[in-house]
Amino acid sequence: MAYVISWLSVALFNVSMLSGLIVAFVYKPDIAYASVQKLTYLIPYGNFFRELHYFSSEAFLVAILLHVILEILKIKINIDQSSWNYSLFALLLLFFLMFTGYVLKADLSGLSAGEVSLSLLKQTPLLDNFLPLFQDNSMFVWKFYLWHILFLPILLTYAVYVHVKDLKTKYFIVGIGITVFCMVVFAMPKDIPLDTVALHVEGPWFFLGAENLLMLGMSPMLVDVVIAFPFLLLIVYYYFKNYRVVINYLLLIWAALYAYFSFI
Amino acid sequence: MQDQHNSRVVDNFRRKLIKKGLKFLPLIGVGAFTYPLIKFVNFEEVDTISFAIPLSKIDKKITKKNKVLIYKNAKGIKVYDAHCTHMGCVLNFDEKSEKFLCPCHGSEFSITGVRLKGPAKRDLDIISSRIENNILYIG
Repeated sequence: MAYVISWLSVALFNVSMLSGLIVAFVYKPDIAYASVQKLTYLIPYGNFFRELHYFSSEAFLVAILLHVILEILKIKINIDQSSWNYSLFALLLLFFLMFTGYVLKADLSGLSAGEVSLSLLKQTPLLDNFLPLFQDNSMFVWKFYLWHILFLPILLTYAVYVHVKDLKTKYFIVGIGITVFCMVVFAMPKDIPLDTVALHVEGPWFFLGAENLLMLGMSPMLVDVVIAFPFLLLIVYYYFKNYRVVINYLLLIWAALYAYFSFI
Repeated sequence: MQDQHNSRVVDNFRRKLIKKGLKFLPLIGVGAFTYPLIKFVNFEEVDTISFAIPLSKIDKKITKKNKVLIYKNAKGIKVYDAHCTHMGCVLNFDEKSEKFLCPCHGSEFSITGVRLKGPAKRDLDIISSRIENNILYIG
């Protein structure tokens, strides 16, 4: 099971990267929303490639989360420390990549998620220094675009390669098969036009817990701590192998609470 | 003999010190690179909104343009930043209740920009504006 999930993750990663390269030909950050709509409704097979990119990325994230759960539940961690660190780095990059992709669709929910993430950075001491790496006043999505199509894919590909040593391209067709299956079974969320007076907009599903905590009035700095908590635990995981059960319980409690706040 | 021994001890100490110091060298390198990088990326002026709009185009009580909210009443014109003061989402205007509503986290503001409901903790930011020759200059 663990082995199947790991090669499946790599297969989905390959599909996500390739489909991302294809949609990048149409995406223009200066007319972001218009170019996404053009891709979806005007260009032949544009929507197919957009959905392929969307569902392969979502499936990749789900597969990676399953992979992490299965690995930490194993009796013995059989990777070295360097590989463990690279895999954590890859996990962090993946969330980052998914989030920037959500902003890039540039509809009302995408742009709002972008604004919220910038505010989270702005209102957190030390992290506010990194704001210029994401904020651009003349073209809102520009720096998110740079991260999404350039820096993050390069870094993630490197981290995944170091972690798995083999990009298993032979399973590519399985990745496409699973993605097409998801395209048939699930519906991609509809874009919300920018001039809509929407009663409620929300970020990507993995960000809903954080959004709801903000809605309940939790300070942005504490929300950052909540988001960072599982990553911090996973960082110390390797060094405190004797306390693995305790850390697993902490992770479980965190996941349950986060899921609860995501659905309220 | 004693002098030789002493110089060897000093040499060993120096070697250890240099060895330990070298471990921190990458940190200094990262620091030396990060600071200029942040300064380099931050060359732009932050949050400057500046544009003009003819008064004839402001025909409603609330006009939303370029992420600012223009409030027109009998006394004159007031311009607010359309971003919620909580997490920066762009506000909607509800004509029925005459309130600004945040679609992200549910904050509410009155038509005069006063905070009515959290999680936002302060009123809307006011943007400076002036009228010249029937044109509203904002920012």
